[in-house]
Amino acid sequence: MIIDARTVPEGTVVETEVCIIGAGAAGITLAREFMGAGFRVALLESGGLDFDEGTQDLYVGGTAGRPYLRLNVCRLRYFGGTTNHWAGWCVPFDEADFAEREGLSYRGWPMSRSDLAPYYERALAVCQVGHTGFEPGAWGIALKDIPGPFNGPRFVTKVLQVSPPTRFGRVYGEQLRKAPRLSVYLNANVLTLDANRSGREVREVKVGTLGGNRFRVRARVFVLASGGIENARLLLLSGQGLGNAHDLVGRFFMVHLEYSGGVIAVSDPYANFDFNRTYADKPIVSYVGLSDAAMRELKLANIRLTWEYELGSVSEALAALKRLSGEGTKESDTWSDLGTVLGDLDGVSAYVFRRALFGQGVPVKALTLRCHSEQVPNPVSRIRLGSELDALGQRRVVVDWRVTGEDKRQVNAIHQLLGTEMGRAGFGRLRSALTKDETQWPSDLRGNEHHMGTTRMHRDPQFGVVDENARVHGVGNLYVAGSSVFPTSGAANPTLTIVALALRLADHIKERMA
Amino acid sequence: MRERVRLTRRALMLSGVSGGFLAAAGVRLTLDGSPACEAAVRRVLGAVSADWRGAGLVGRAYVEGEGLIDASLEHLLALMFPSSQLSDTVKLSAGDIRAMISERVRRDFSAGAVVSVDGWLLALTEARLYALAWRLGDWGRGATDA
Repeated sequence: MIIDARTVPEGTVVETEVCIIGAGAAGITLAREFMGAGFRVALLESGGLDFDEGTQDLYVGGTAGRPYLRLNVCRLRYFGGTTNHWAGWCVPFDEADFAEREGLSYRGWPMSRSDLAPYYERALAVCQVGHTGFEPGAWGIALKDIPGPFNGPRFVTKVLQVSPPTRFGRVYGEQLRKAPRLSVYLNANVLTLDANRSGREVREVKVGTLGGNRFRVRARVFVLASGGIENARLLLLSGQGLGNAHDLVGRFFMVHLEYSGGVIAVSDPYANFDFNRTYADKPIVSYVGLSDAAMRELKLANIRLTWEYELGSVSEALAALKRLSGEGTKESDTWSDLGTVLGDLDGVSAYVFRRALFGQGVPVKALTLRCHSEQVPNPVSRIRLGSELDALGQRRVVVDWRVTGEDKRQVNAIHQLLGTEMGRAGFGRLRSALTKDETQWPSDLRGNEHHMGTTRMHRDPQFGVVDENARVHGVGNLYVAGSSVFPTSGAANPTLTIVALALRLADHIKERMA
Repeated sequence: MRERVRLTRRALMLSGVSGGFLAAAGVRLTLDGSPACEAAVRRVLGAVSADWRGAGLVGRAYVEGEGLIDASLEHLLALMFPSSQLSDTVKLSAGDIRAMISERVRRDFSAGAVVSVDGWLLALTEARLYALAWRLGDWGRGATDA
């Protein structure tokens, strides 16, 4: 059933068994898993079924440290959460991402990739993507077709699958509405989680709406699933140092670093660079990354490398087209299509243009490198509460995002390796956009929308907010779902892992409730 | 103070650095910078590079960027062809010389014997080869690539 929280009478106490806070990828996945499990579930969502400016304004926040994205733009606060503008890229974290690694601080998940593998498999279905796997060979990309050095041993070609993308609210909303013993409360903003006197159990959450009414929800188990920033914000707002005995809540804020990496002058301008693009109309994208062995042995962080083409002259291309098609025989709308393509000679368009129209008739002058790299976990990079209040009287969040010299050392080392490996393999030469200066980055450096780490997972409460089961250390009935529990950021888009961890958590809670 | 050379991708491409590169013709010469030696090196470079101007620009950027104290022809030749390598090299066919130098470049990259030339990561062998090109010609002097 779906309930508009604005209609809940002031002072009501809702009694349930499992209370999920937030209806994004994690929250909806959990709720679906609990359907038919035999216990009552309340799913509390701040927004409604559609975007609303007033609700979205609750996401406004400040920044300190390095400039960062506008917090009310890079995430969405309504049913389905940020999946409402998700691009749909699905890829698991690499094995090396999970491992503790000598020489790299704050590394290691309390699980391996193989531990998570069955949940990744289930997560693929939730995200509406295939089960062919993530090995390039499974998608018809033969190792022999991948030019060195991107066929190992240091750099390898990887594949990600593309979800439709799944808008979790739209796709699963009806299922949730019909589910017995499941109540979805829309427009229900959790204000605080209130623990008992000892602080070891959450008793209830206080809920407010922009309509003004307030009520409470009591449950046996609570799951915080409000997103990579909001999870920490809610814990900080709740007082009593909830989950924060070691001052870790909000720390280790990580995103992926995106920047132009430089230019590659290629050895063979007519070579096949197709491996870096979509295959056979399948919704996948391939890219270049470090092998697990390279990350382990060389103590390197993770990275995703993609490139765009710079083609030879357009006049040359047009001449080639005339040759290929026979002058004057083309339909006029084809020329119109061509004009469109010519107007955007980079990225996928350039690839389509080159391959579909000209075969190998147009040389690639160069490849411009795009980098998407892991951020090293750093306790100083954090989110905290600001002094500004939102419409519910709650302190807004301030993101103090930091990028360190270690981040720069890591990417410099990777670029050096990339340049030498490309030279060794005869692929081409790299002009890196990076300087040796550890404080200087390409001018287009940005932190992206992947918010991670603010309630990190670790077996030891001195190093993590939640334990290996995503339960908040020291609080018996409070769990956290979402990318805030990621101890490291890898180079993978987080949604598939968010869903996999939510499935794992759902199994754990079902066992607990049995 | 002279303006520093800015090495563009075009210059690099013209030099043949990134191409199916580094062909070399058989020559017989000693490392004395004599006209015969110069002529032989020109022939080698002619096989290596499609455009001497590009090669020279790369070479000049390397010499100036690295602040090489001794960038004399004799010194560069000695670095490129230590001991009797030059005499052995010139006995090879152009294709074999090309293969030999390509192998040296690959070995450089594998061993980390690389140098950054205006941001481009090059093997030491190729950087020295193009420094020779600059030493032998006027094409790189005082010029910047458009």
